[in-house]
Amino acid sequence: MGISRRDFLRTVAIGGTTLLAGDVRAEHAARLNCDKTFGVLVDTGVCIGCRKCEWACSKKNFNPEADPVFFDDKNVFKDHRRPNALAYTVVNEFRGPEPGSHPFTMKVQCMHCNDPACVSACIVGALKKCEFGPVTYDASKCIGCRYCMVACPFQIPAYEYFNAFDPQVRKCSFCYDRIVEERKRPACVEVCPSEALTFGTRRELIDMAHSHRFQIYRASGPARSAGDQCERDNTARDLQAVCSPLDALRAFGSGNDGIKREGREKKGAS
Amino acid sequence: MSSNDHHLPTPIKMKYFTPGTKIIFAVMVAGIGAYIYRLIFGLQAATNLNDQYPWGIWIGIDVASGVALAAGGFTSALLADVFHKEKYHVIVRPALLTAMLGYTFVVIGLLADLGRYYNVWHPMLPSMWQGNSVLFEVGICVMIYLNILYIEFLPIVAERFKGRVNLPGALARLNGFFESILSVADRTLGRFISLFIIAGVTLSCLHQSSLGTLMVIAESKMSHLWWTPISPLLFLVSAIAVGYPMVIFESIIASRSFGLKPEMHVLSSLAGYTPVLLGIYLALKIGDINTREAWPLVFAGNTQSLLWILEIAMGVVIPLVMLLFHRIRHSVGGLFTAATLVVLGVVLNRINVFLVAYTPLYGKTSYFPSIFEIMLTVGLIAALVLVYRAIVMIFPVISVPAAER
Repeated sequence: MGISRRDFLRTVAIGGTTLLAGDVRAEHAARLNCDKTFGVLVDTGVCIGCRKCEWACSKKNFNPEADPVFFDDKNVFKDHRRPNALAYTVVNEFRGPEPGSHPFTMKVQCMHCNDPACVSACIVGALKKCEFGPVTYDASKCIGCRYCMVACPFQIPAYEYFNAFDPQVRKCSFCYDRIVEERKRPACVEVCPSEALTFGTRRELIDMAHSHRFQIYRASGPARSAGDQCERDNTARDLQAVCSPLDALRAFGSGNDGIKREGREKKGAS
Repeated sequence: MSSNDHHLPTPIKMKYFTPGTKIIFAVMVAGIGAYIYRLIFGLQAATNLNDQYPWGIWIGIDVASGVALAAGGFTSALLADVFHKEKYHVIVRPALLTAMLGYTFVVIGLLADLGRYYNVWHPMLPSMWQGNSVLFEVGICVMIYLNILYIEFLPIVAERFKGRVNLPGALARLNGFFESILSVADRTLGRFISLFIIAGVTLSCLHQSSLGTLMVIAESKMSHLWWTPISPLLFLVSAIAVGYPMVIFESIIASRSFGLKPEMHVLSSLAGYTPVLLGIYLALKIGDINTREAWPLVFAGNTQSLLWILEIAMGVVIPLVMLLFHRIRHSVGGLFTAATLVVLGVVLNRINVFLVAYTPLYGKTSYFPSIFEIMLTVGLIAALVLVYRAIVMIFPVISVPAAER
């Protein structure tokens, strides 16, 4: 096909749908200030799967009295868990494709995308990408349509279905109050004993991803150019993939069913 | 109206409660029960929705299919009022009523699904407008269009009650107020009604297509049988195509139910448009699968592929072929069967797009609606039928031949 998917979509849009959207992605990319936007670099190579980040997150967001012993249980790794309305981050264990390979652990949580699908989907602007990086949620605006949950490609936003009168969308806030108001690191980063999590500006993290420590992984991992990640329009996923020994998020996208996915192919190639 | 002088819209005179109506009434009461249960105990108790499956049949059937099947309102207004095909004026009022009730019940169904239904008015506030959201486009269009439908219905209310407002008991003091509203509406609306009709057609095209855009954002979770960038176009064309079959479907049911003769001379020629519209839709569907080289999915032999084939064969190909035959178009049974197939096909398409195609990345179970979800959905349809029946008995909606009046 001579025209890209986005061009095609836009043509269709002119045919009778929303004209409001415009080229939002370009706007986002232009607005992204790498010295101001915070991120977390996840080094799954040194993650020991201690689940302390889960404990810290629970303490910060749900129960200040949370018992650390409860989070020591490694049996949870039998299952690949997902974040839910009562846990914003969970650690899962993965194994490489070859038999007997060493397992590695990785936390999963909101990616705070640079161009978040949930934010573009939200009917009332309850979800916002703030200039410091966090994607935040304002319950007072939310109407509870759950379109953000449909839109999120990482299946992150969770819903308080059990709450009949005041249900909220629940997901990691990147400890917005801690990093923006208290100038501290997110709770999970602060507690991490193995320095698997590094908090910093996007520019610092990208420089770090290019450093020696991470080059080792890149050599064994899938070929993927970090490029100038900073100025490019991408999600935090790319940043994380640079430093993970396996493309642990390969679950994203169903893969080899022989169907053309022009958009995705292009993203991979560029 | 001149060509149809012997066919004037008249309130239907007959007993409201028949054995059939009583059964429908019981179904509606069960639906109200499910609604109350959902409001008190919340979504977890009432539905099978979860973090993996945020949308169920309340969106797939109540909202998406409801909006599609209400398309008869704007398509018949387009034909009779914009293109001035005068002989179709007899279908405008019933189609308008279906659209008005359809959208009203879409909103009632949506309120059950919204977690914070009390905030449903938020998209009206300019401070919360979110122009990047397709859902916002759908929401604001449906909201405006619903009001336009009520305005379009006002002349019918005025025709019936102007100068005759007589509310019982304590409400009697409002008689003068309602009387003045009706006389103002009667005097002014006639001049502006064409504006509202054109706005209604425009808004319908806008949100019918945007409904199709909703799932485009979830590419990675959608079966590529239905995930396509031309989804909005497919939704719009299928909504236009289902408009007349829906009018035919309900017109034949209404005639049966009220003991009238179906207006076959109008319905048969109306059905003449359907093969053309279905043909365009079919060409788009096939062309889309072809362009995206998704044929392996069509012949994969799994549930999704079977439902895709069923949707196209039952809902598009069979009625298309049927309606090409003059004899079928002119027989009540044949016409009714073909129209029903188109209606079911579009409902199946909406269910397929919103529910069947949706395969969440980490879903361990699949979604099937709970008993409360089914009760509420069926109850809403029952309530719609009952309100329709009441309104055509009170207001001049259905055209009755002079001899039968």
